[in-house]
Amino acid sequence: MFLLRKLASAILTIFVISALGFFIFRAMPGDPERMLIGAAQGITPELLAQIRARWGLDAPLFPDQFLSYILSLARGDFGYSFKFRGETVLGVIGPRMMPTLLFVGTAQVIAMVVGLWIGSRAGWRQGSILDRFGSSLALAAYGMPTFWLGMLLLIVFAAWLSWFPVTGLANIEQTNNFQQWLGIAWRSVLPIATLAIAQTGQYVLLMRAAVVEVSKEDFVTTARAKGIGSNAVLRRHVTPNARLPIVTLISLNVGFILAGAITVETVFSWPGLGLLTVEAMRARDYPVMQALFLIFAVSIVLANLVADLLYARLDPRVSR
Amino acid sequence: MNPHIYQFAIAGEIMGTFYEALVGKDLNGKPTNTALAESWVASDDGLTWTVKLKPQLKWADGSRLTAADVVASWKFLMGSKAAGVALNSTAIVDGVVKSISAIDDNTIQIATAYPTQSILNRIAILPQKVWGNIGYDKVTDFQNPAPIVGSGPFTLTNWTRGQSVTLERNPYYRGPGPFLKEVRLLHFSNPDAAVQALRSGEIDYMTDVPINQVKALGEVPNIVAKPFQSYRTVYLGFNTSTGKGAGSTPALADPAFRDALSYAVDKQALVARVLQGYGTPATSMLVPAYGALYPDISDIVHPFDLALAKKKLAAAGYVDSNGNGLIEDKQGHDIHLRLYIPDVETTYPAIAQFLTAWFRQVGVEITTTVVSEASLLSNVADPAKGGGNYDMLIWFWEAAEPTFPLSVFQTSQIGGLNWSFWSDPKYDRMYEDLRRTLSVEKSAEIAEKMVRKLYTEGPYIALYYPATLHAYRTDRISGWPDSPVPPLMTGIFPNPTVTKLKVKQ
Repeated sequence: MFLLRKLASAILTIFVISALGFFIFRAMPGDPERMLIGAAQGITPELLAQIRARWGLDAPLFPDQFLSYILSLARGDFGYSFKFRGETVLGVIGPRMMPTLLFVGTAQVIAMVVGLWIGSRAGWRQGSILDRFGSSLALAAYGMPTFWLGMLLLIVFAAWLSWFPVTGLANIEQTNNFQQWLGIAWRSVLPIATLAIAQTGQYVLLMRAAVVEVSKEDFVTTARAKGIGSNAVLRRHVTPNARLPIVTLISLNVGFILAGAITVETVFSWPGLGLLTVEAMRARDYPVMQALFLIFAVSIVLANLVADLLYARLDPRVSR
Repeated sequence: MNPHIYQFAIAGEIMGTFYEALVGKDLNGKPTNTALAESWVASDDGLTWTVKLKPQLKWADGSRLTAADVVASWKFLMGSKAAGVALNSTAIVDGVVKSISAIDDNTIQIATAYPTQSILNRIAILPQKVWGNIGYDKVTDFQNPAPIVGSGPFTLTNWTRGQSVTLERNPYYRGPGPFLKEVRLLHFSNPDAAVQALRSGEIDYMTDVPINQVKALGEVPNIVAKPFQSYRTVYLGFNTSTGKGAGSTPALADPAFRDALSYAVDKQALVARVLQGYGTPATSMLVPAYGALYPDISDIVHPFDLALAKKKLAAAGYVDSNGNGLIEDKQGHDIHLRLYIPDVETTYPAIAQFLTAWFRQVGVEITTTVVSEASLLSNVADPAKGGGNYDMLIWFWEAAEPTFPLSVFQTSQIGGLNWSFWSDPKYDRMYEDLRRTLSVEKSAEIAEKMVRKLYTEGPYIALYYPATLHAYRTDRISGWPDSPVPPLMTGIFPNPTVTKLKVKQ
């Protein structure tokens, strides 16, 4: 019952969002047909009219354009990109998916593992060297603008030390598969490091706070009084109880992951979904914007659904 | 990579390495026989051109390039007003070219409505086995996938949109050159990263160096970083329309009001403070790079003089009668102007700050809003169809073709490129005369008259001509030209320098 309720609300949310996405972007000032041409020489009304007709922009927004959008969406057809002149939206988004998932996913995993470990240790031994160093570094990382951090890493490790290339994925010598993979891995290091450092901060801070909170509970005192070793108390009694807020953070992060990748992708000219979002916005590429909006929304809704289900497992009281 | 339509000028630049026009151009804009034509001769009345192609021309796939390809490329533009707006634009031939025909495989005859030569070096000649079957309804979204077969020194072999372009030597190019086997163009979404890539030697050349990095970059051994001339004018435009879509005050439509405001703009200070000296104060949309067509109007150029601006405003009937520090328009309302600037340049907000301070001192308040390019483009659309509703904007024009910035202010361009909605039948006639003039002296004379008219009527205030900042490495590549024009992305079609670059031994 609980599962069904959650699932139904998720599906409804996604439907409302996809309808909303249609109107929000069209409410933004600016016409795609002007952006398609740029400020080119000799724009003629005939050409503008032809482009409008060609892209279906001459039909009334409601119901014609809206209905055809919803109907194609129901068939899994996202339409054709304006900016990319008739390439299918999926064809535009597809190749941008892997770079983002690769770098955002890896960065998240690193941030989570490192952040949660430091956070729990720091919270458990308040005032220790690890706590003082870890917490202040985490605060600095959390407060640092990602753009600036990325630039800093780029200048130090790519320009000064020449450990990594400055040019992005586009400049890989494609002689064989192995070299290509090596090239991708090599070029991923700095973007991943940037996002990981920026994300680690908040995991440390939140985990530390949760552990501090839990360690004041009576059952912790009891556990200690029973003579259980300090590390075992942390592992068996404190950490499990500190999980709930962390699950919330992780599920919320999935949404920001994709959106937050925008700045990092811009710094490193990383051809992912973040950079594509910026390009599509600039060009008023409605179909691509709608699809990206939907992808971001669905990933947040799914993450929340997973979080809800996890909650129910971690704390059975939630599902009642 | 469609010469009929593209969004960014860089696409036109890149096409200049694999497509060619009939006649080439050198770095000074002078016609050369480096492109497809060996010779071009006008009839005595100047109305008919006979163009002879070089013998045995080939496309990059080895097939023959003949007069039929040339005729078809031109005829396509003549067939519909919706044929193209970019490199291959209907506007080039519309009302100019009466007919074009192939006399034999290597000879073409072009009849024009009036004597003109500027059409010969503008239209890209396209292989008809690729372009021949594309109709007008499909041409604006034709993808033109790689490998792109052209006749120029390079062939586009790989293109990842928004990321990179790979050009390889065209084995059938008639030479001399190109000497480079491959040229790769990379897009950096972050210009500072591009600077680092140039420093580390990962790239050999970059455009659009950030202003605050030029000096430091120029001091690096083996790197040349400096300003080059551009075709760009940055201007402050006014909405001069009076009907639907008019600005917030009727004063904007009064030439005397706009004229007075131009005394309150210190262009010298803008160049020094906003551009850090990399540019020159502007007088009109015509840039110094046009050479003979750059008019000298120094006799009427206004000085920067706030007191004089105030006096001129008062003389035109704009005074602060209620003592609140702001002058009122003739309807008795405080003049409070909305300035829109597109979010594409970091320099525009700085200009806006200076303008706000100066205008405030003559009693005009400015509120600046940074808007997206798309949003601003809807403001400059036809005021009768929902455009207008702005007071002032900061933007730029950029064109290698000298008549283009003058074409913008024709009445017929309202709803097109006439973003000030300014209209003057005398000006329109002068532009028609300019189009029909073959002699450079006569063209310069007409252009100067037009510029003087624009200057006194003031639909815009030309602020400055920004230099374009490029940098390149000299330790790996040689053959960079020493010229006021940028060394690789020259803005000239077809590209005159790419065949000269060599890898150093």
